[in-house]
Amino acid sequence: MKLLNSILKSKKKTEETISFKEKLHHFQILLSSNDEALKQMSNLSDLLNSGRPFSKGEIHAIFSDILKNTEDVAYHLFQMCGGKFKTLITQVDKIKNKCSEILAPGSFCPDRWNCIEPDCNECEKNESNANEISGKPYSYRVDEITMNHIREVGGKMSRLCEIHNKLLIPIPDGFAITTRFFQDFLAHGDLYSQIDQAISSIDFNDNAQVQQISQVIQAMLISAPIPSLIEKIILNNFEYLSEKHGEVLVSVRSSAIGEDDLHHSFAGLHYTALNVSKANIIDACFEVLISKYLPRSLVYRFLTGLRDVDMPMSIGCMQMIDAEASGVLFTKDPLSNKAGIIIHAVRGLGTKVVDGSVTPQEYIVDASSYKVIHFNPGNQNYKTVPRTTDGLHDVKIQDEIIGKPCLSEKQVKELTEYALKIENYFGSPQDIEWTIDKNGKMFILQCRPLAVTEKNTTKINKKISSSELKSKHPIILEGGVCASPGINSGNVFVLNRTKDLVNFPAGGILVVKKASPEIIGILHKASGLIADIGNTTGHLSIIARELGIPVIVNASEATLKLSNDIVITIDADECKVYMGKVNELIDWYKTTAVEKNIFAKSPMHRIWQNISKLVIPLNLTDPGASSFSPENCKTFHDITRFAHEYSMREMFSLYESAKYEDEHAYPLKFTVPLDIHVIDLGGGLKDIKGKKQIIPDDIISEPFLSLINGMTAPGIKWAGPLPIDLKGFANLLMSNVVDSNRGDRDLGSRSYAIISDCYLNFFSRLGYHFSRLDAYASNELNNNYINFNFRGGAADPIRRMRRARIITKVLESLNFSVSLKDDHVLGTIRKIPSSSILLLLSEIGRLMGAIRNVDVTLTNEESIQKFVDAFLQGDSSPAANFK
Amino acid sequence: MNKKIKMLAVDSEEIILKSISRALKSDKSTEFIITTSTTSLDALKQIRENTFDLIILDLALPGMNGIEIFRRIKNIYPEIPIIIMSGFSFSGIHYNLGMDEIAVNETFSKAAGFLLKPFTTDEINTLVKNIVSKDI
Repeated sequence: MKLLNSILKSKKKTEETISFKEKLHHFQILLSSNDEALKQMSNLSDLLNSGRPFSKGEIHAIFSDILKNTEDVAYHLFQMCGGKFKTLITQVDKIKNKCSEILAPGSFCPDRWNCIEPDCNECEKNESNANEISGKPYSYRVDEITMNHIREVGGKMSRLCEIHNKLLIPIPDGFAITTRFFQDFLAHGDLYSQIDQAISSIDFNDNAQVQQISQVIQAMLISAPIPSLIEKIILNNFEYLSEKHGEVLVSVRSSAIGEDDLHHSFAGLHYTALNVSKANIIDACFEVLISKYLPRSLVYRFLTGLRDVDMPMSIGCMQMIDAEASGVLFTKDPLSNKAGIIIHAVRGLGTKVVDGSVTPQEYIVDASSYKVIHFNPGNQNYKTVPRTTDGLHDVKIQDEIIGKPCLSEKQVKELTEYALKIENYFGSPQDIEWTIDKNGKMFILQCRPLAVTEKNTTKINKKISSSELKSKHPIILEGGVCASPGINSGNVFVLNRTKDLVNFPAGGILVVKKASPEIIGILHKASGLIADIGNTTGHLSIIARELGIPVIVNASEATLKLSNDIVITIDADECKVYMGKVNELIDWYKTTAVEKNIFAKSPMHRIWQNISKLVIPLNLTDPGASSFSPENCKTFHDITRFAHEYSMREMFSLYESAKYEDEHAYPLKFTVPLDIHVIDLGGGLKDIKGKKQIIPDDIISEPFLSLINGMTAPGIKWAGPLPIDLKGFANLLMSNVVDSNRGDRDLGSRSYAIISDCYLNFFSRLGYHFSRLDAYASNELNNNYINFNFRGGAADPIRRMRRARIITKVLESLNFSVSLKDDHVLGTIRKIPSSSILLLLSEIGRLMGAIRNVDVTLTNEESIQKFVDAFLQGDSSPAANFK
Repeated sequence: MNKKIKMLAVDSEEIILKSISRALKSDKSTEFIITTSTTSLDALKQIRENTFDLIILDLALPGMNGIEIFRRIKNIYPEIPIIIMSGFSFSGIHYNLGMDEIAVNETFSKAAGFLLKPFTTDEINTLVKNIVSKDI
């Protein structure tokens, strides 16, 4: 015994040992954290693959959960291993920092949403990063701005000024207030994080909540103090305009970063204040700024996957033109129906074209001859004009000019020339806003890339005869203009008051009098939209095309003809509305329509795709490989995989690597003559106060009970314990089967069961062989496992190996994965239901009894298979037949 | 011929806007063309883009409160009569709005009239009739 103790004591402790209880505690947290991390990784992957829009709040909740649980996994491995694997914790930090870099504002280049490189989140185009804005001016005058200022003054202002400065196309004089103004203002009141928090908490399925949070953010911004420097800069710029042009009023418009690009028009989403005097310019600028948080803007950014942080607001202030006529021009038909340039014009200011409240005059112009090939007089009785002071008013149009063209042939030609010059310069179709003043001078107010929908070339009636359709499904509405193509069905929701929008049911078909911009806030929920009044160039139509929602406008009396809750099918291409659900059409459309998933290409989606590459892939697949190390963990998944593997290894050697503290070892008295001592780490035993020893009835640990159940199976012949040969035992200790730290323990011939309600670590020394069993059986399938290790014996090496092969074969038959080296068997099974774990533990208990000392009786090779077959058929003592 | 009055009514509660419309329509001598608005920014947009003869404005709006909107409207159209409306008693309203008493009193001094909610058809008609006959 002295020899043994001296051997044991000679080995120095290298790490701090912790108690059984603590170890199990860390292990259990590690398991549940690991489990939660894996679940959320799967949720992240599902969310990204679904292609559906997600909010920052939604995806951040998943990501923070993954991060927190991965950090927990690494931390608890560190704790349960007594300070080992610290590098795993640093590795988590490294991956986390990479994620932060990707998530940083402005990490995409200015071309970010049009860039064809899917993995790009940084490129040479991204010269001016968001942080550099702080050193840039607060304002520019229009003649100073080019496309290079896109990051400071937004797409709208930079494009407009570019055509003025490079192509000499007339635009109203004015100035831009840069994004620095917006960022300083937000920083000044520490509003960034407050807004971010508010937005992150929005459930975008809840219209009322979107409204409410929008109001909260607006209130935050309105009550925030305005830095006096910013006020002064705006006023100075205004004065400069006044000095140059005499008394002026201006239009104040949004020009957010990312606004007005090909896929994200933001048409009509932000606020525009027209005809503003110096007295009101500060108010107006802030109203425009605040409109970034209108419900419809919040929803639009959510749907299109644009991040709030990437889109600081800048403001364009341009001299107000007292317009004779205004309108929009599309250099191509966005629906590919008509050849030629489309001009929509109204008398007075253009607000009535873009808000869809009048039917404007339509001119279709031949692009080579500049001749009007088609004219539609539209319907306009009132025009909007600027007042002499702030604001606008409506004026009745004289009867004699109603219906007469408001553009002369010369003006059409001039406008067309400008438009084609712009199209040619930017190299893509353009959506242009223009105005003509009282003296006939023309100004371009805005130009942005125009998204053109490819026309479905296969005519529907070629596929399905319309008479056949008509006989089955009555047409209840026909006519109007297709503003966004598509076919869909749903329940009618007639909107009487804007306020009722919050009650709009997902999947419904919205029927409205006027195609007004407020509707944009719920458009994504609609299967279709039908408007009594509206036009194809209005803001709502532009956004509907971006979202791929079928829209018919100018459907005359749709609000009267359609009643709430009836099911209809809208065929926007043909401007027909059918009663009921027309599956033939819907199915046909699905097969021909090009999948329109704008979200999947959005910055938000791309950013998170990049993040997911640091989260989801598993690189550490082979625990036996030398590359299975903390340094090689490249993803959070790798971290959890590594920690899970090593935590189980750690638990496996629980007996050797933990220490007694206050845990008491109770001798177990039962029919099996093994000297088993039981240590309860929590929930494994009934109340046994005062008892010196326990019996199986005191046990409630299910894994342990199952093992005992197997050990006591009928037929097992447990002989008395074999005498221990101390010399042989010491040799075994030297070969590290038993960790030699345990000098404080009487090793004798005891077996130990360290248990909890769902955990079992059984370390036994039966004669000359050792077995270890580590098992977890909980309701969470992913956490469950059994590791079983068997080694040694008293017989010669050949017989010992025969026994090892029996164990291997039995374990394999029970679906364990098994490795066998010499007489050393290691069997593992994971992620199976608790009931299966318990069943297998019972089988292992039976196996322990059946193979006891069987090495002595294994005289030939045939006996191996004979033994295995008999055991698996329920014979708990096959060796009895070999004698 | 009937007098035509273009009016903007601003209140976050649709039911109040309805009751204003109903009450005013009961007066057959005047034709009211009523535009309504439930949010502050929308109200400002309406005010910037249209001309009204009269505005009825609730003081407790979410987002931008009525006092602030009042100031902005007066800056745009100093001459326009505004009736302010509140569910709180006017004497202590600065507490309810969490605002400076002086700013609130200044607003009150520029208001064309006051309407305490709930109001009767007669109350609103009398008030509106007085203002309209005086100013328009």
